[in-house]
Amino acid sequence: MKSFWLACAVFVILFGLITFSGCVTTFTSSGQLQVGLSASVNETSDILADFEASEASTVAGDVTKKAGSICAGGACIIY
Amino acid sequence: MQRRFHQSLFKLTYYIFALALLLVEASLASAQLRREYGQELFQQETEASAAFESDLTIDYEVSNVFNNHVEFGLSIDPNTSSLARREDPQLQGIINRAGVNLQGTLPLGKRFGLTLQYYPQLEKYIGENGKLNDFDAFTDLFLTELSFRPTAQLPILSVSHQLRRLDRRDDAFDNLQRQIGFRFGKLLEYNFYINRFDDDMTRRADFLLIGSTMHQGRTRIQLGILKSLLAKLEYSLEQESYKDNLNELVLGIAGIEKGESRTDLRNLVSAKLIEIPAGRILLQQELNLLLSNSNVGFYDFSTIEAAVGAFYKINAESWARLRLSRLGITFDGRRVRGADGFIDENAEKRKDNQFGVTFQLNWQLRNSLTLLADYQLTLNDTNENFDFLNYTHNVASLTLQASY
Repeated sequence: MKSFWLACAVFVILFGLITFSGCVTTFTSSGQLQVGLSASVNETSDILADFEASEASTVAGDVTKKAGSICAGGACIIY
Repeated sequence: MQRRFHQSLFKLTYYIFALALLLVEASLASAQLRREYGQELFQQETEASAAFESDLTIDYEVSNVFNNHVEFGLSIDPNTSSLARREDPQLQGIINRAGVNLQGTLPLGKRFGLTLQYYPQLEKYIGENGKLNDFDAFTDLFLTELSFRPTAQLPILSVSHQLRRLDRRDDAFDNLQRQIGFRFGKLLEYNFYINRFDDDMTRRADFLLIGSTMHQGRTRIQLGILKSLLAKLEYSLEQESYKDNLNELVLGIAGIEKGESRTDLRNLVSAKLIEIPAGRILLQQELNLLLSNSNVGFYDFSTIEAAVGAFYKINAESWARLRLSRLGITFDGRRVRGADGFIDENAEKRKDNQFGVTFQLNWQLRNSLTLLADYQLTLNDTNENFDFLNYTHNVASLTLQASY
């Protein structure tokens, strides 16, 4: 639970910094909160949307999706 | 000896490629920094309309997947599956999938929208003299989502309900997963999962074959650093509680007391740096941390993954993607057993290292026909005294998608 509270503290500090530093915050059409350090430029990026769609099914770093057990030779091993 | 030589050769080539990619990314970022420092930063996407539009799409999908380690991620029940009596744990086979994805959105007034999705899919396993047929499956997915867009500038608020039914030939796998979700764009997300197996009385040999309940919260933020350099931060917290119909084997190995049930708390932090040096090329560096704490020490582990990737857009609907990753896993609650099969008092923790390569090519054949070729290679090294955990996992797939 310690790591949860630590992560919450990091996010609160991050949001505080964003609020008080005068950063420009906007929402993209895909619902992402964007934070920039000055005024934005009007430039859309199709490649970013395509890239995000291509990696939608990736579960980065989560080995729990491959965990399981193997049974062979009359014995089972949990890995 | 030969395997070690091939592994060393693979690692050397892997590091050269990863280093080259990193150097290219660093040099492009540095050039961009000199060019753009102090200029207006960040991109803004076009303003979306507040109203929902009616929409109906039908996607057909047929895929063939070669997998030389089918057993990873699937559990084999020693009491129900004929595969449990094999001498070699490795299962190699081809998985054929066919599915139809029907999705429609219906506007309800000016600011509300209702999305319905039905996605049935057939899975046929071929290999190991027909014994993989145990995994043949039919899955059904039904989603209902109610969305509300307060203004054109704010993201959509939505509540969703999803039912996913899995029916394999081996009844031990049959289950129903229910998911209830709340979302505020991609900024905040909460999901509640209930996974129940048809048979939740028989004692199973694996946590993959018993029911569970999970709460998942997620938040994301995107930071504009330069005109075409942005960072993405994501934090996810999951709490999963499992049912307790486990057999003596699992209880003994994992050190679970009778009547005790397992609850995991997982923290996942992800940081990504994305650079678009040219209109068609996108480069990404990422760092992912996962910390899994369980009340059953056997399932405590942490992972750290570093990855570099490149994405090239060939034309409007065609693209290619390469990702190289290195993942380190430390199992805090597991000690390495010695050659005699026993665990010494001072035995070191089990540690695995994984090298991953993913290559994808999405090619538009005709207006609404796309071919996706996907190859994934995972090389796992472990300090645990199990040969089968030093594996090379190859998954190659071809998917044909048609949209109407």
